[in-house]
Amino acid sequence: MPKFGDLESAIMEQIWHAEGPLLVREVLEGLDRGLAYNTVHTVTEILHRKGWLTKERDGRAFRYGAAAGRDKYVAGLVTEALSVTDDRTAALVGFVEGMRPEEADELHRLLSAAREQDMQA
Amino acid sequence: MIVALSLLGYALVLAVAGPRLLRAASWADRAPRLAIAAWQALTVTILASVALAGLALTFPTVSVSGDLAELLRACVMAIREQYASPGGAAAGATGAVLSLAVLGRTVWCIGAGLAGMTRERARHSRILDIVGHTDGHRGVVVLDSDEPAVYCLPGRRRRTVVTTGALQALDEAQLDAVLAHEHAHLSERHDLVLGLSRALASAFPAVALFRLAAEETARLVELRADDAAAARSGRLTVAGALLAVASGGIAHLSPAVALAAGGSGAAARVRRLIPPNNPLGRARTAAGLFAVAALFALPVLLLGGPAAAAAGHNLCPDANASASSPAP
Repeated sequence: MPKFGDLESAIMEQIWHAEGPLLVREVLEGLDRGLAYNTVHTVTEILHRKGWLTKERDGRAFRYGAAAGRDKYVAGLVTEALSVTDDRTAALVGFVEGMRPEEADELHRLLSAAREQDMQA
Repeated sequence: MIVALSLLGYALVLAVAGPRLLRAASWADRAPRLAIAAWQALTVTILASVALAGLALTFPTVSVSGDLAELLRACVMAIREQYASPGGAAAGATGAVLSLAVLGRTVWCIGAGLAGMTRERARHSRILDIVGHTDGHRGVVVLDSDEPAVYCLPGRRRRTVVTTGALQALDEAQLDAVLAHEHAHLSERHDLVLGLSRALASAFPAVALFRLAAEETARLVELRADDAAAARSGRLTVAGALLAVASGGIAHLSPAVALAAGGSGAAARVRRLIPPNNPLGRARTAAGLFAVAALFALPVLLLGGPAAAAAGHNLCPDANASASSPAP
């Protein structure tokens, strides 16, 4: 039995890769992990409640689709990470903020000069 | 009254002179850890001085005699005496309000800041769990994004996150340096240092010093983490890594960075790393640490000094004879 978070991630992966909304049975087949139907159904429902999945009736079953593309979530995280300098809460600590191109060019020159000096020394 | 006024005066002097000493100093960039401690000490001491000044107004004479019963009696008598006059009562009330307001506001804003930080981090972490890939070999979480970005999520489940864009921009040695940088942030709990300074800045927005302290702390923790990375990977490698990540992320240049007159913080960090290392000497670091400790100790001495002197006196001459037993 994989960790719960792993399963959520794997289910989202399935649905993001699919052409359209999937039945729980189709998700289960795609996962290929020997999981019980009920397990996958429960986690899919949880993802729906959390707002990750949309749900539409299809006959007697439901089809689940992604509420938003994976790129959108990733872009959201990256934007948060890059705006950490004006983040008031310090929830994340970033590596470095952006730089103006002309500044970067000048620093590249300075750095290569320093590297050459190091090599000679 | 004199104690309260000297404490307030001390806070004022620190608020005016402190930033000048710390900002003008070229040593801060050479000893970022000491400078972070100095800023923290400065802000906490100013707050403590104001709160203690309020306390000194409310409780005019505090005896430090060993006998608790006598101490309490002495306090009660002294307080009664002060509140007998309308001026004394007003001063006492002002002091109590001052103390409570400063302490309450501080505690509240730190609590709210920490709660907000935890909430935001948990939300970020939940999304990361689903959209990120774990790279067990490097011990990082990878995000599929062309935008080069590296950051860490501090806290109980601390993690470092790297985008595929950053992985492409960095070579192995540079990536190693970046991870050492993030590791320094995580292991030295820079998030708490930043959280405290930002909470104080939001608690007292009218006091420019706290905002300045938050800005400087944010800058200095990066310098400190750069130094930690440089100790592992070499200064030029760290400079190269900074440049690779920063110059790739131009699209997201925040307005605050773009407007900074003396160039962005990133550029300043790269410039600092290029010349040979010049850390602050041991003697000067020790002197700095001593100064930081003295900063803290002074208000306590201000409050405790007169109290210690008063301990030798009989505080309540009109009370019954047993209360006037000799104090140590």
